[in-house]
Amino acid sequence: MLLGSNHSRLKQALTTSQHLARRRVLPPLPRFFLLAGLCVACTVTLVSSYDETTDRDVTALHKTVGGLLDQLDRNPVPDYPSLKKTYDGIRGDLGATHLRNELRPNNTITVKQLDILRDQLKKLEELHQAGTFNQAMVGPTREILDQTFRAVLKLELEKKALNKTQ
Amino acid sequence: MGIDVQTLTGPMLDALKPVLAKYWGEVQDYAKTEAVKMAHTLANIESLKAAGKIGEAQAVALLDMQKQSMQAVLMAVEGIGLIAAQTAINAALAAVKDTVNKLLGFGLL
Repeated sequence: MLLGSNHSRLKQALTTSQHLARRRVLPPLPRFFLLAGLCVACTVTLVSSYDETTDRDVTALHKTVGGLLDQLDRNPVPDYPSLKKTYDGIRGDLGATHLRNELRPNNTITVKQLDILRDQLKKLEELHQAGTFNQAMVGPTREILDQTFRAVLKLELEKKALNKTQ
Repeated sequence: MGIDVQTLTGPMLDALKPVLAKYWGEVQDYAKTEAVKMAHTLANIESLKAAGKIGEAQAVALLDMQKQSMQAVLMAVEGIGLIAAQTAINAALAAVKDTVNKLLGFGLL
């Protein structure tokens, strides 16, 4: 969180504030603000910056998954082998996006969200392959996956708004 | 000459409040919207099960996936919270930058 070069400044500030607190010169709350003022030379970074590629790729993946669900929305659902290539493509695209986000610093939350999306799509594929996915399940499955996609994109778009203000 | 903490506290708090209020409003709206959608999906799953269109195993599978989506939503809320904290901290530091640098006689912030 803090720049490494400010570690010694922070240590010195902590020592000073502890000394001042012991002497009852500086109560806790103002001490916090003193520390905040001395802690960082420029800015604090807690979250990774916006990534246009991730935004674009997740949006494209949502469209592909929506297309898959459209194909499943019939009675009976198409057999798994006829859609295996689509599943393979989805898995590959999501894998690439996941890898890219693993490499970005301060990006644990987005990576965990993509883990969830990967698990959900894997579950869908398993259900289909086992022959237990039927047309009635398409509606709730679409709602569930849309929610996960929204969560990923919501966070990414908040990062975009942050980048604009800083 | 020492830094007068009261001089710093006021501007920092004034910078923090609107940032945190803005993000709290956003998070609240987002969380509420997603909670309504979740409730709708859960009701949908239940009615499909009651109508015999899906079996118990299928309902359980859908519920497991719904739980995961809830996690993803809460992670987005967590992420927005971190963004809010980052924005607030940096706003507070920016609010006192000139005062601190002037008192110290060099550009610490």
